[in-house]
Amino acid sequence: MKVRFLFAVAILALAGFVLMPTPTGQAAAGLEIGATVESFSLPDTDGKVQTLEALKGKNGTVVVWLSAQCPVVKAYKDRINEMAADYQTKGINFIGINSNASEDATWVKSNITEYGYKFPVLVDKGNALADKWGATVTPEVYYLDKKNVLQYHGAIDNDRSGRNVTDQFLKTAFDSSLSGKPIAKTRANAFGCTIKRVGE
Amino acid sequence: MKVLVSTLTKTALTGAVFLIFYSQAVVGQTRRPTANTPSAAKVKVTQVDEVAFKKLLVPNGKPLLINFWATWCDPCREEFPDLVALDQEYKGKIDFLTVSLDDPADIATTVPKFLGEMKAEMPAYLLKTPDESAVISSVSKDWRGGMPFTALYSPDGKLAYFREGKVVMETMRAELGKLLAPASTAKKDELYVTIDFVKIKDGKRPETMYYYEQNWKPYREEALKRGIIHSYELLESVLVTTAPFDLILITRYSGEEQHKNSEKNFEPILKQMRPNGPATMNAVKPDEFRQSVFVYRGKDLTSSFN
Repeated sequence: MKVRFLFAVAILALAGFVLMPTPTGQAAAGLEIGATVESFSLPDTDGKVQTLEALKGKNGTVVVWLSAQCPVVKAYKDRINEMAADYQTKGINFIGINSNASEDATWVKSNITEYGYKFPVLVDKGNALADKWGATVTPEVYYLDKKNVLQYHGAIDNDRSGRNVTDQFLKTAFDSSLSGKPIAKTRANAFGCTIKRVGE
Repeated sequence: MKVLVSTLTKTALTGAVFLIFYSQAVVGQTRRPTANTPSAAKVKVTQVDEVAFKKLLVPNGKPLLINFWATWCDPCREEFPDLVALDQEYKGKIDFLTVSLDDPADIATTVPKFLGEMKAEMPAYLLKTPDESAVISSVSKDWRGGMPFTALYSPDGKLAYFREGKVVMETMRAELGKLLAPASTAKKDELYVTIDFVKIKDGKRPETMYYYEQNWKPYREEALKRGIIHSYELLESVLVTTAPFDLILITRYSGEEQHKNSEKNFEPILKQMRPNGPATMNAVKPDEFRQSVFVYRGKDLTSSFN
């Protein structure tokens, strides 16, 4: 019995190595499409604690990871502001999150003014929320429906320069969702800035 | 036990597939570029589309290291001296190339200028594609597009290691060493192992994965740095739902002595990293979301199959 068991363990372990020799690197943990997000509470740049439940829109919420120094975020700021203003009237609120260990609340606050954000930007000191949700890049968006179920995750559109946008991932997701249609593309990636985490 | 043995054997022989979750150490070092900057004209940067890019991902008999960067990316620029040093250190042993995500308009100006300043000798490419998402996914399903990003492929084309963020030289050298060291020289017959078969209770996968990601893995990363374990892996059964376990946690030790002293060796790590006990996702306690159904301690039997 013991020998058979040990053989089974060995084969089992070996099967894992031989059948799927997978890479080592950072974990891909995080939210999956369809997951219901728990409410979170984070301070804004004045230190006032805000919650997802208090800030969410009646038809949904976009949580967007931002950075004060990332050139890609800078390239997207006008598109983010336009979408936030446009879709706020349709019941979708934007919440910005800054998890970069290299950007303190003072910097984030001045960046809000500089970039003209009209939505709250919260400071995720220690990147706990980024870790929990699996956010790694800026800008990176999570679109939640009114029940806080994740509908779309990833890039805003397919061109960071803004000159050759042919696929507005986030906007398409909004429009599909608001009209009761299924969202065709629930995930898309784009090149951006890696979130600087504590200890790195 | 008989049921367990039968299930395990069946599971193994039907080719169970597992996912491995990873983490790594964070220890860095930097070097500054030297003077005597070559002119941009001396550095050639080749523009590639997604088709040509995919051909670059095919190794040519050696490990292949690819770094994705851009001149607008501060950490990319900061890590470049380390990349140049790696290239010098492993020249001839690996193929190393860089892929810039700069604007194609910069292909003859800022991109080669920077590479020249860095004295970078790696083949340099600039990627232009209308479908970044597809390119990113083709490199790694776990990459969201954050830069810098460095991918290491084994000679047979499999992604062996990746890093989103600045490379950690010690870690990169260790990963390169794994690919460059002939398997026959590894003293696997001296390895000892602890294998923990874990069942997730009541569908509490998020709590369980959080628990292992935040505790078990960081402990082992630190243990690796301290040299008190040989290696570790966390395997998840994703296809075989009838198996009496969901996760397999493997920790290997370099020899019987290290294995025997593992508890004593881990104690200071636990005290230092989690002085108040292991981190949990919420109020649910570890015993309520996972159960260890069997633990194997002994020689690493997988070595006998090699």
